[in-house]
Amino acid sequence: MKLDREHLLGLARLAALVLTAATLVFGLLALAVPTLNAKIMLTIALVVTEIVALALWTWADQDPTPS
Amino acid sequence: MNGSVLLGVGLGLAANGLTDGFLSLDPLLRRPFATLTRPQRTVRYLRWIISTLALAMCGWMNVAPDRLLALGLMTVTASTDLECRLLPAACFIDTSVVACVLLAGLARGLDAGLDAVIAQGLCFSVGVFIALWGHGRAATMDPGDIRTLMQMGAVAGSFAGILLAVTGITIVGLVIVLIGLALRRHVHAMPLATLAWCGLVMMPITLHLLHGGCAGLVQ
Repeated sequence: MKLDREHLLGLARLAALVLTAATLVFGLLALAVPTLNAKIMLTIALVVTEIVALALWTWADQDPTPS
Repeated sequence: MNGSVLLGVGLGLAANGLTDGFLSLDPLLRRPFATLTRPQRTVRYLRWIISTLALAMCGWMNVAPDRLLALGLMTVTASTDLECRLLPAACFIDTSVVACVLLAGLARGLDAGLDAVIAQGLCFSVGVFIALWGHGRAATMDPGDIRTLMQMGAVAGSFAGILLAVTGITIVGLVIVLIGLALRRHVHAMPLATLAWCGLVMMPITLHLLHGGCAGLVQ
């Protein structure tokens, strides 16, 4: 199946939305965990998901809001 | 205390100077002093005075030097936003977020650095969801505003706690969308960074008033 540009942009926005939600979840979990090691791991996961989400939003429409 | 006040004044002057550099040299901002009208020059003079005095007051309230530095970085973003509703280059804001995290980590340890990272991440995700909710209802969130929220989170995360930062940014975002809904025909871009900066400056002052001295909270 061949994907055109509009489909790719839609997929990118969906992925960015999921990753943004994951960032929120990782952040809240990092606040809740008692040990420093778990906090470090969750913070690393937060940074990775946030950077990818930001890159996807930027690529999809140069703006985190959908066009 | 005198040293802190001097540091605040110095940071205020440096932040304003850097802002003028951005406004003069950035081709998107295009606001060199010579081209300004009389009201625009008045805004510029007031911006120099108010932001320098605000940072000096934070110094007088014994805010720690690393937090003063973070506030100085936020001052640049807020100042360009105040003058032309536009933000400095995205690379400046991204670098500022990293700098605020490093400042928090180096000055008060790994735990505080992690808190700053978590705060900016939470502000990013909350900001995106507010922007998605507001889009189509009010054209208030500009490109770059999400980065502004990240910078606010990185600064506020090292100020007085993550929950305060996230609660603040949620309230600010919702209020901005609601104002945009009410004034959608007249308002096309809200000075979000300026409002966020005002909230950050007010934070140590509020803590000082609430607790009769914020040294224990912000040192």
